Amino acid sequence: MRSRDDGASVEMEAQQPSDFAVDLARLSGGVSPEGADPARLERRDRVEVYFRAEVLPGTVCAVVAALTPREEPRRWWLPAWRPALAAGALAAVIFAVVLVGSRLPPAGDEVPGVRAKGAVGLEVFGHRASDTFRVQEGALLRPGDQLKFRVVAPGDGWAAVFSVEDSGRVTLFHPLGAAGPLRVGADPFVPPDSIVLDGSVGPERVVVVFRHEPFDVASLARELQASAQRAGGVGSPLALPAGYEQASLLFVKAAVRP
Amino acid sequence: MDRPEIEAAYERFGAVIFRRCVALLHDLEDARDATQEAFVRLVRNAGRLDDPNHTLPWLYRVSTNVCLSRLRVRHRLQYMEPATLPEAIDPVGFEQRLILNEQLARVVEALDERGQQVFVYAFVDEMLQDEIARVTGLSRRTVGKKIKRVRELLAGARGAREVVDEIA
Repeated sequence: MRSRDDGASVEMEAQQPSDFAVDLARLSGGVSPEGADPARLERRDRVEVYFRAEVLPGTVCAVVAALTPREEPRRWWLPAWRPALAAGALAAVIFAVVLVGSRLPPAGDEVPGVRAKGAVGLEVFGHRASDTFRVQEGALLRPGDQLKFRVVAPGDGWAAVFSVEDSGRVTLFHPLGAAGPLRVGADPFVPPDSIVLDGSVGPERVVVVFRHEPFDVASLARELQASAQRAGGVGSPLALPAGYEQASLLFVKAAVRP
Repeated sequence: MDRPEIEAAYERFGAVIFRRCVALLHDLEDARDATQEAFVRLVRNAGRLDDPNHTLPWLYRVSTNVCLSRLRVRHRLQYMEPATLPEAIDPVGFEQRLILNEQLARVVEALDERGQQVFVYAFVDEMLQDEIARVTGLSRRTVGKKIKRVRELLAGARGAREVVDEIA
């Protein structure tokens, strides 16, 4: 092995190709350049074998999630639709003015049954040692990490927070140990308890489910389990019966250090 | 990129990033996180993953920057001790790791970002000055000056070999 602490490494490089040269040759489809130190090649090969066997399978899901662009909601003002929409809007204005204008409620009156509809939201915060961090979609977490949740409901109703693993195992995070869901309002709420991740590894999706009416938590857990099994995992948001709204976040639990 | 393309790219380039992260961080868990972070940065910023001549300097730059950033945090938190690394996948060997770790602590404390990068390329990767110039975008002459500065710094440090002998 070449000494790294005698300050002479750069001059010695002429005798042996660097890792950079070996990488370049291999990535270009060639073999390692002549003169490469066999012991060094063997060490780097061992690390690469370890990566493919132990690291890649457990992290590829998180990498894909972090790099896959999220589907944008369809926008009605996309250029291709503009002419049709403009014509439709003009026709609607004429219709309203000519035919039903006189029936419009006076200014300031609310139209019964119509209100702006929000969406349920979920934020996840992690705590490890002395670090507190926001958990992003696709994050890599570890058993023992503590999680806290912030849920935003679209209005008065009921909510529950679940964890669904790739295997289909479902765990109720909030409300802990309760048979029914949490009563929630329009204000964001943070359940008081933290969740400590257990030792299981692999992809896991945290799902907050909201409904305007109370629901049976155990039944919904079974729905989530069936949905994960049908989908072959939790890589995508899970399907729920009509009437439920949800927000979710995918993270990946990796094994603790050896 | 769609999922199969990302997976293929990760399989192709992930191992190189991971190896460098292990060599710099000496901690499998940290290296795993850093690899993911570096790969995501790489794909988001590098348009031509097909040409290793373009991609490899990217790989080296991105993985070096991610690792140095983590080492700076460690240094601020005063825990630069090397973590336990299984011998089977130790990229440099225990003694060299101790030496490198001590050098890294000193370099992170005393040099600017460019100097830290040059140290990594010259003393961890053992790259030629031409290769360092290619990866960093610096002139060969500037690289030479920075290597000289690193050597002066390390020469003034307590001998790494003494540390190894003390532990032994």
